[in-house]
Amino acid sequence: MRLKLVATIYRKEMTDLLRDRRTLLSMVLLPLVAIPAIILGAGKFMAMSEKKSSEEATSIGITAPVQSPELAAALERSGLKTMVVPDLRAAIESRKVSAGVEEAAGIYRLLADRTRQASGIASDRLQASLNEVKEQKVLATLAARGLPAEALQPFHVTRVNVANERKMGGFIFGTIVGYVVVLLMFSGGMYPTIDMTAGEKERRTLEALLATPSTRTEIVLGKMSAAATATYTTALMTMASLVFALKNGGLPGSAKIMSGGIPLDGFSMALVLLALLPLAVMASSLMMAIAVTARGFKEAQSYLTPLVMMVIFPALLGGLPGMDTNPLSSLIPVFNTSQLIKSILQGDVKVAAFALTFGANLVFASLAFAFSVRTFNRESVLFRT
Amino acid sequence: MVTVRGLSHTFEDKKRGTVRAVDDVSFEVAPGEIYGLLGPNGAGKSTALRLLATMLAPTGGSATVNGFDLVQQPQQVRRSIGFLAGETGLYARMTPRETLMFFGRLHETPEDALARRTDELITRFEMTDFADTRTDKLSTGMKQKTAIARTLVHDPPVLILDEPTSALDVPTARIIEQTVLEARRAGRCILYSTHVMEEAEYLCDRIGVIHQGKLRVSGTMSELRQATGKERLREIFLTLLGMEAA
Repeated sequence: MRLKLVATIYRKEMTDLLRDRRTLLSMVLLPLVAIPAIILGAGKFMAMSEKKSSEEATSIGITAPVQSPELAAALERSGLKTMVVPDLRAAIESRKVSAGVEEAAGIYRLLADRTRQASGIASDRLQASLNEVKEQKVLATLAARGLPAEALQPFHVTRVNVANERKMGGFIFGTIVGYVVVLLMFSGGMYPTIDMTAGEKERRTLEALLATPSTRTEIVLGKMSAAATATYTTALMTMASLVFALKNGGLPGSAKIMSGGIPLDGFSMALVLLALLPLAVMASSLMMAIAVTARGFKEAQSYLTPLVMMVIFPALLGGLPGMDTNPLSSLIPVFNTSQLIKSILQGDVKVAAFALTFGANLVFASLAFAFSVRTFNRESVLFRT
Repeated sequence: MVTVRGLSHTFEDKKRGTVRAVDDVSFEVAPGEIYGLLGPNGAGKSTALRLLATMLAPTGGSATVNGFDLVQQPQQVRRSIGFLAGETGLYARMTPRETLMFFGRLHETPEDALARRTDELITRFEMTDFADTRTDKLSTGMKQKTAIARTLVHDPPVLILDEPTSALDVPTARIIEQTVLEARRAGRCILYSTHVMEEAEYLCDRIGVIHQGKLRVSGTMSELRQATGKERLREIFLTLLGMEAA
């Protein structure tokens, strides 16, 4: 193995792909612009929608004027305006009122359109007002019978979240990173990989390369290293833009508060990037082995698109809550990385789990590389036109 | 310089079964000689040349290029050859100078010698004006000059040229012809496959006609005339293919 030749091929491929607008688009522009735009845009949209719904949830419909002075006072405190309408259901559907209430024989029926956020909010406010009145009535009854208010609450229940801010931040961020980064790694590496394999065949530049003294293994290693660089760069860009978007108001409500605990310390980031390294090599080698069997660019795209789609499933599953790391799951490619990233970001990764996943992925990467070299050595593949 | 002995290449095809693309082919080419390989489409010319460039592995026979065995010393063989096919493309996003430097480095030419050789080829092929322009911006003639310079950048003793003038206009094809004649004068051994009879007659010292993987005849023009009783190469060629009465 002559590393000088490998480095020459690597440099050429990197120069080639950095001059290609389409590669830059998938490798840099998509993660750096599209991800923050989507997350920030979605966050802003959700916040605006929440605000708008809250503003709209101002009126409730009733079938007859409110008789109870306590209820009238509670409704006034809630800021809800009452409107007498003959047909509650029709009034809610036509958005004349946000929600409605009707009373019959001491039973209050709350009507709301749960597909509309404003209707839900109005209904919740209405229920809170009714609860307030109910509580007042209960307390008055207890007082009339000489019983203390505490009689209704012999003990209190409070919930305590033992997960610290860091763990909660990691929980949210880890779920997103494992999925988005791994998926974009594959899609970001797809174009450069096709370009340097099936693309070379289509443009008829491969024969000249094969006629040089470099061996097939040296050619594959040089090309694969460049493809892995592109794949890995996509992961780096995606990570950076995700952090930027989440830190800059990309999440609404409570998630925004929890995202304050996203672990951005150097050690966590270094571990995540280290975990992604063998996956980048595996992804590039595998995609190269598949793409080189195609006659041209379009054919290679149709071969690789299902692979990228197939990656979505394990990447998504690995990040889901409840998917805890175990020795067996550490051996499932893609799934294991997604799971490991979540653990790292939650701050509860074990050395043994990291070593097992990293080691397994190194083995998968080596196998994928060997498969790629083997495919490159097949005459029927290289000279298939 | 090139010795081919009973070289064969067979492969399995789903539709055609076992295909003998090159069948027991033997010939020799000396330094300073141009050996033309003629044959219709699919005759086995390109496969034979790819075998000699070690892109394909022979399934029978043997061959040496510049004294190196195809199977035992493939890297030394590739170091000894300059390979150019008419359909070969160039890296569109690289300049001619970058292309020459890249292929020179892959042939492990020392960096200072490579820079000198690149400049020399750029001057020789009058490429100075476009040497640093991306290849996708060049005309066909400019690209062809770049492709020839790439073939010669490591100063190979053997040239393997597979239909290098196919799809070229007359002035551009002329650049190739001149380069081939110059290479012969420099003592290089040249293997030249073509469809163009006039080109083969004009350039080649000896000609081999290949059909259905087999070398039907090999010799100088006068030897071919004697063997077939025909005068023009076109008639000789068609006679050997059984398409014209002897």
